Amino acid sequence: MSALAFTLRRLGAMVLLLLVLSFLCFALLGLSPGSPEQLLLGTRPATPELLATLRAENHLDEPFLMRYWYWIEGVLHLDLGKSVQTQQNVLDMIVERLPITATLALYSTLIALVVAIPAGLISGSRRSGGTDRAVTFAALVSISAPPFALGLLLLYGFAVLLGWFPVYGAGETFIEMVYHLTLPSLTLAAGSAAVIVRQLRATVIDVIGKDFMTFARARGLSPIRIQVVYLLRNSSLPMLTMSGLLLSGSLAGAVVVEQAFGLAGVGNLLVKAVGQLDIPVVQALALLTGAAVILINLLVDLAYLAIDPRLRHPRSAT
Amino acid sequence: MADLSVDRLTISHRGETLVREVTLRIGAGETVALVGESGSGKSLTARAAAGLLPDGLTARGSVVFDGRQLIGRPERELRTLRGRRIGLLLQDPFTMLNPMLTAGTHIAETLPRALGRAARRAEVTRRLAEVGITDPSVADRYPFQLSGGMCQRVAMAAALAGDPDLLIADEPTTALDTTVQREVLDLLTRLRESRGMGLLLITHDLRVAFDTCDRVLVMYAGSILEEAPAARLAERAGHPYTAGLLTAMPSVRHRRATLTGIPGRVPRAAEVAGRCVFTSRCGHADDRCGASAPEPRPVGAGHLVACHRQAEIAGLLSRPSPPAEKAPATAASGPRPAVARVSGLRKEYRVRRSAPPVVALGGISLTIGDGESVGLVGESGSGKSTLSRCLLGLTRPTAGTIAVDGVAQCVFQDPYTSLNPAHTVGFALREALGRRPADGEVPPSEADLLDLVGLPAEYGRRRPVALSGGERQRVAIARALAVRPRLLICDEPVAALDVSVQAQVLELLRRVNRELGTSLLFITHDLAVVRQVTDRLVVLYHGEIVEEGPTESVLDRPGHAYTRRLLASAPQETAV
Repeated sequence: MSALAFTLRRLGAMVLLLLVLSFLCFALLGLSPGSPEQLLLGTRPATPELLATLRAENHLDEPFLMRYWYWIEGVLHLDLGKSVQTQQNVLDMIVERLPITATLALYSTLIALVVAIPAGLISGSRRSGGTDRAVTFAALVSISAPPFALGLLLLYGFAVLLGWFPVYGAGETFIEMVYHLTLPSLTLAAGSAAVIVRQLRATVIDVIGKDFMTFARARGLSPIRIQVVYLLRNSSLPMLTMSGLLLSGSLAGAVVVEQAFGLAGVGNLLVKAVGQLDIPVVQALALLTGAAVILINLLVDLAYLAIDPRLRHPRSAT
Repeated sequence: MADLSVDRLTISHRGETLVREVTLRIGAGETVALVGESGSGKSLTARAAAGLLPDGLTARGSVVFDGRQLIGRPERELRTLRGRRIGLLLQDPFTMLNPMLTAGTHIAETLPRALGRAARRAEVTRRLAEVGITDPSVADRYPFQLSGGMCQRVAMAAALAGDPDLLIADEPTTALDTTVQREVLDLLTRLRESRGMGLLLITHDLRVAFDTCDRVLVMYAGSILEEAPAARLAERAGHPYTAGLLTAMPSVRHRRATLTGIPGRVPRAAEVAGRCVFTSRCGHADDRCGASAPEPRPVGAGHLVACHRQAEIAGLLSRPSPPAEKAPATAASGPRPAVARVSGLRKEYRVRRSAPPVVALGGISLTIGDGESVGLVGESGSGKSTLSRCLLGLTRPTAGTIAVDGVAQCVFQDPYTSLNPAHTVGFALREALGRRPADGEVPPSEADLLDLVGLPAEYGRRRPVALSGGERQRVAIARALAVRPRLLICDEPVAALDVSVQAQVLELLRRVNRELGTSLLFITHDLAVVRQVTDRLVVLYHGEIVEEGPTESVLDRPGHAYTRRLLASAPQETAV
């Protein structure tokens, strides 16, 4: 199977998954307690005219599958409906908030990788040494620290006491945003970094004992080359999977951090929408998060192909 | 040109000695073999000589290369020596190369100076040609796309890319097929001669050592017991251990009346401090041997023996038993009922739906008579394992019929993975006895079975982890015999065992065949081993039987070109 066929197959699978996901999201409306009309009414008074309009707008008299068809048609035309609470266009609401959450997720994953890769490599190569113990301990602490507590601690230390970073808000320009999002990203990165370090350390311990590592040293290759091309590249696949999972997780998991740092992100929106039973918003966000997870997985799979030639060139039959 | 001298090298791990006071010297362009069984410390010695001991191991003593002390030298300085002055080649061609890099990259990254793209490509092609790979497109292939022999050649080209003065080769041919083994050894010899390079060859096989090297050192339990020029060692081994190894070595030229191994097992180096390390297994040991470690003493030109009683026992050392006079008794008695009859057996594998199927067996017919011992030889990919799996019913043939009369059992190659580590030996045997078909006779007890394979009854309480490789293989045989099979299929049963233990297991299998009348199908790549155990020989090549006949006549007068090639590839036996 060539790389192209692999990509096409994954894309096909992705479309199929998205369809299933969209169906489940749509079914949310039917599964929620209360009648659809009540949910769609929101805070508005239930006049017969409004009820009739809602029934017509949402095709509530049609069978379930037809309603799904109308909905998915709308979604494909970027029409995600209106918030029942604010009557705002759902797409606009999300587009407004997405940059913060996306930046937060990417930024924190980047920080996690920058910290975790060297730490994992060193920790795994000098097993049971002083550095390894320190790294393992730090990882344990980061994994155990609850994000809200860590967030508050960082806020107090770096924003209040030292005054290096802002306490509140997300900033306007990109530079400002990076500056504002540093502390929240650090908070989010701590747990991810710890997971990646532990994963990488375990793989490195395995890879470092392989014959090709000895053979590389025996040929006098430079330490940098051995670390990167031999050790890191051969240890990177499990780490990559983990990073993909963490990145998709941080999209949804930004909720707590956004709350702690007062950021108006997607997580924040989700919490509000669930609390107010704002079904169209919840549907859209569930679809968005699911699509992001599927897309990230696809990217991880493609990265696999780029890194490991064994996947590009399956062993020939003879 | 430079020489290596190792003086009183001691390697230890957390205070436990693994290698004790090893002294050896390799002059410029000289070839020296370091021979020993598993656990003898030969590979550690080689790693220490390249400054590449695994983490946690410490070396004391001295390793001087080209006038420079390597022990205690910082990694940064060692790195400039590695590859360019001292090269190291490892055993397993598949794990030695980085699976993420092409063959060409492995060679290019080791070249001593940076070259332009085109010049580098030309140099890689030239280096590949040097190791006998004339197809330049191999440079763009990945290790997993190449055969074991090809990988070993690429690794050799990579190890030699820095043009070292000394190459340390750690069992470079052990993982390869016989014919490929021969080619790689010849290539190694040729490269060494054309480059005037020194060679330290680490091997468990005395025949390979005699074949390739000027001088041979014999190592056991972390110490060097004997050192001599190859030809002299083959003629008159001075140490009881070396003599024992030579006696245990099977011969491809004749069947020995009895196969004698060395009793007991290899001790850990730390257990035998302060005495002769071979005492516990030596038939000539006396009080002195247990009291102090003997120093190596010269007994001839370049011949050193570390044995207290060398002078007294020189004439008594064991020699290989004489060839059996005639064909063994079981072979002669004419036609007999068949235990297994295979006809037109064909097996195809489909790798992909779109690709044509791979033919593992191309329609072969074979009959194994009652009490007969049949050898099946061929290299990897010849279909010999597929045949055994079909006979055992583990895989369904594509076409053809198999009729097995009674029970067939199997003894596998690796005794370390074929026994369940969680169960005691006794449990494994009782479990097998429970599946013995009722035949009106009183079934043997667990102790009877252990006795049958030459193990004391108390082994029933042990778990596999407490057993050596040879002992585990005996247990595996006992377990197979528990169900009273008519046919015992042995798939490379001694390939993973040391020479001294190999002989014992082979002798046991001969006894099983002779005394219990169990038919044997003995699958192996080793012609010397097959000669010792079988009456009839079947040569398999690319899924077809290319030659078949009484073992002696096939090996003495091979008819097919492939059989002749196999025979020519077997290591020479200067010892016999």
